[in-house]
Amino acid sequence: MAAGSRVAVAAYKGGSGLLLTLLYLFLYAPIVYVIYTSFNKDLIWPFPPDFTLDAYFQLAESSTYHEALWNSVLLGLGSAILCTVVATMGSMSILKYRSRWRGLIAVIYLCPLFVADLLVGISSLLFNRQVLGLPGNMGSAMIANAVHGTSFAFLIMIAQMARYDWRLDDAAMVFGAKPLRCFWEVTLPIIWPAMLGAFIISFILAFNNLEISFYNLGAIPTLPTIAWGSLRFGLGAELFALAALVNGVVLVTFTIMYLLMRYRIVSFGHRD
Amino acid sequence: MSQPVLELRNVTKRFGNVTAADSISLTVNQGEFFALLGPSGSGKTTMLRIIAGLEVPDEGGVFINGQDVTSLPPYARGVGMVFQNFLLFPHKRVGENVVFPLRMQGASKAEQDERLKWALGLLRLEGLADRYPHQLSGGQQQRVALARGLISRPALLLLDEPLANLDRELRKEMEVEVRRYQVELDIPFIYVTHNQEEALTMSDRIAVMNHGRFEQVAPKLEVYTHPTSRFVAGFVGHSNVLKGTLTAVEGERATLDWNGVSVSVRAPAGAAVGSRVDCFIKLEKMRVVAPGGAAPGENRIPGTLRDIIFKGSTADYLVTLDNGAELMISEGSETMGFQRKDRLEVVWAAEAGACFPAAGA
Repeated sequence: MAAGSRVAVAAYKGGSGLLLTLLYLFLYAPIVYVIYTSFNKDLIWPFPPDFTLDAYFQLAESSTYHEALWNSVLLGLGSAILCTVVATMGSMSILKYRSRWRGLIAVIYLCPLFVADLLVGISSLLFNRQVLGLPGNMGSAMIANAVHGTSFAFLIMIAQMARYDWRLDDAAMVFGAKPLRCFWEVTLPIIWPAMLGAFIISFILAFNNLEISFYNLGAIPTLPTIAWGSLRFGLGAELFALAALVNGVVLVTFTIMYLLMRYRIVSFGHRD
Repeated sequence: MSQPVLELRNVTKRFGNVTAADSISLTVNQGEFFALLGPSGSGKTTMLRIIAGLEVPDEGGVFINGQDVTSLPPYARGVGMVFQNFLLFPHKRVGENVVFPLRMQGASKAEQDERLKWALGLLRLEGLADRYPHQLSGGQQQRVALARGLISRPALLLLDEPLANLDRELRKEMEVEVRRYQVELDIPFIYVTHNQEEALTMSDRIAVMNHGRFEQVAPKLEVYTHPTSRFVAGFVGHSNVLKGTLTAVEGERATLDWNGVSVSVRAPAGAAVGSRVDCFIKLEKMRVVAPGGAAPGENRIPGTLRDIIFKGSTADYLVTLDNGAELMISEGSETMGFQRKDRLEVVWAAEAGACFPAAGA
């Protein structure tokens, strides 16, 4: 009996492990494949491996990619700042003032998540040009990208800030802090990790975005738009290198974020 | 008489159809320890929040040192406050927490340092200034909250159930300390609590609150010994409640038919023969004696001792009377050598206790 149940437990554990491995493969196999291929001579069938850094040298030499990288970073930063500010104000007002419509207000904040990138891109383009008379440029691309980004940022902010104790603001005010001072002295130092998380997510969204940026940027290249454009001339080696690098940076960023969240308790000297 | 530090004039506050403060008027004087005592939901915390400026009253006015502060925001009122759960700023060290009110007032660095030293000394927090709140024990956090409330020499200090989160032993200790700080500083403390022992231990005056109204506002001894309403009699102190019908009324004195036993009681206001009343007699006003003997003006009812609950300095005697009712009597624990199932008599003076028309009558 005992031996039988021990076998069952072992089988269960083994089965769970296998399932987890399969899930991770499903999620990461294509990305790992691209990174692996970027270090190979033969991009079509990179087996057995024949390692080289040619792709990275080609990428480094291409001035189009440099300009595109700079534009993508700029677009990401501008959009992320916008998203973080709007999402912070939105989540604060919902959580602090506890209107009985707060459920509806939150859902409306999240709705843009269900609108396709392509639609956001085209409709932003039309609206900006026809109604506002704005040309396609970096500014309008930042704003258009902030539509999805704000929803994501809001999702992160509201989940993190649900634990914030607003009575701390009462305390600060009784002790003489005006509302802005109160935000600066008490609220901000406690919620900034959530804001950083929201910022990073919305940065990555805008940085990686193709459709929205494509319609709103006019002729200004970003990494995704020139990658897409160069596809028409076949799979260049520098595209593999680019994909590997972007994934690498995202991976590092998320590792840092994870560590920040994991050790926040220790490093910021307080816990809930 | 000098000007009151705090004055409330007909303050009313409603939340939807709940009236949290119903035309409350009150004055609190310099150096007074004033307790707002009531069950949860009685509106006492709302009163405190109105005084602090965290709620705006629907009607009426709030005056601090004669100045109308009704429409002033909390940061312009200059009151100190100690919150339930302490509400220390978790990301600031003890020193930064304590000195926060002075920084907000724009006090000079020298003054901040001097006052911080004073506050940490007063509350015996020296050496803890660099700790974070989560590194402190409950009692230490409590003292930090008090230090933060007191550092800026507020006109008055508001305390919202500050001891509710502490364990019993620590609470007893802090009750004495809080009272000591109040006497030392000579500023009024307004202390909200649902715990009658805290109110009775620390305060000079008590307001007993229920459903947004003051049931009684009086010096604590008077609230304890001469409750003016049925609610106060039931809420403050521990009493036996004798529910019965009046069979005779002669001036101050009345006779109550209580489960078939005639008991002599103090007549309630507007008493009439035949009316149903509840009489509250504090546990310690009753005594247990061996059977036999009687004195005029005394009630004396025979019964059987069911149990003794030993409490250290006192003991509670549970007595089943011959009419089936049960009474609890609080006595010094060393008094007599009664045993369980002993026959005895419960004795109390006719004027002990207070009677009120029965609930719903």
